[in-house]
Amino acid sequence: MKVLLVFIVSVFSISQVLASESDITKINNIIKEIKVGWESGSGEPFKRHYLDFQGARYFESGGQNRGLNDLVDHHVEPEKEALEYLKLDFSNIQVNFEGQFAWALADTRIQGKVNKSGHVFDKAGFQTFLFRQIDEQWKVVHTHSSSRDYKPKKKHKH
Amino acid sequence: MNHLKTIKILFVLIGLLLVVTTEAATGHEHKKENINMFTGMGSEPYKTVKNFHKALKTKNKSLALLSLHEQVTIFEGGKVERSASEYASHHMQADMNYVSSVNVELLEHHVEIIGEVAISIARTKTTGFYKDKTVNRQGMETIVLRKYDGIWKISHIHW
Repeated sequence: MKVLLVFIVSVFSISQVLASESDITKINNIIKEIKVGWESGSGEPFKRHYLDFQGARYFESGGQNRGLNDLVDHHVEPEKEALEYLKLDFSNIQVNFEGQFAWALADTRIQGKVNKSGHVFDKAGFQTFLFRQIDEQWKVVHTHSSSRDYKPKKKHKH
Repeated sequence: MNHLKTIKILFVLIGLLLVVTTEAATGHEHKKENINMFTGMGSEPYKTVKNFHKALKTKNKSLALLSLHEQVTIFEGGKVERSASEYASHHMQADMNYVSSVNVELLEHHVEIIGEVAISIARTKTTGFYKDKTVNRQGMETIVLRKYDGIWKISHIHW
């Protein structure tokens, strides 16, 4: 009886671990696709992975987009024309789960060049993604990104 | 005869103008009604967020810490603090000095509970003077709260 109980608990625990690993992979893949969307100025990954609802808000350094269409039409896609290039990196991604909700925190590095002025920027900061699981799919419900001019860390003198 | 015709046309035009302006006004009202800028107020996680802000404003460090989970992650001004203790020993004092010196107006605030987690999303307008500089800026705040032993605690803040 004891052996059976241990077996059932073990199978359940393994399946839980596998499920969460699979969810982590899914969320990391979504973040990768969003990165590509920003870099290429394509709204397609956003339309696929963001939950389109009336109260949606996406914050970026003191500004916001209201709703998915506003984000895609007035932020993501115009950047394709406005920027000669955009390179976005998410690193140190940490995903937390609580039932049907997840939040991911990441370090960011954003580099680009403005077409009109020729201004080259290089910023570092942080990103918060909030997700909800709907029909077994993780959907982004809110994002918040903030960044400052990138300053390389000074090396310690010994 | 021509004079009478002109008056008739004038009346028709005034009538049309009245209809158009009334429609525009009521349409604007409907649009305003559809956008609720404050939701989830009065909920338990909302109270935790409100208490945290009040504690910062009144420079009550211990009360502010009561709202934070020890393992809180705080993104602020391009920097990160990865625990309540770290925040308390670094940026908290500066934040308390700042928010107690300026006027923070809440423009929009939404709190939603999803099981044992809650999200709080807010926009603020901050005005005043701080360190001899005029402050007039819009701020964004994202907070994730989690219920620990029945008590809502802040697990993540992004300013």
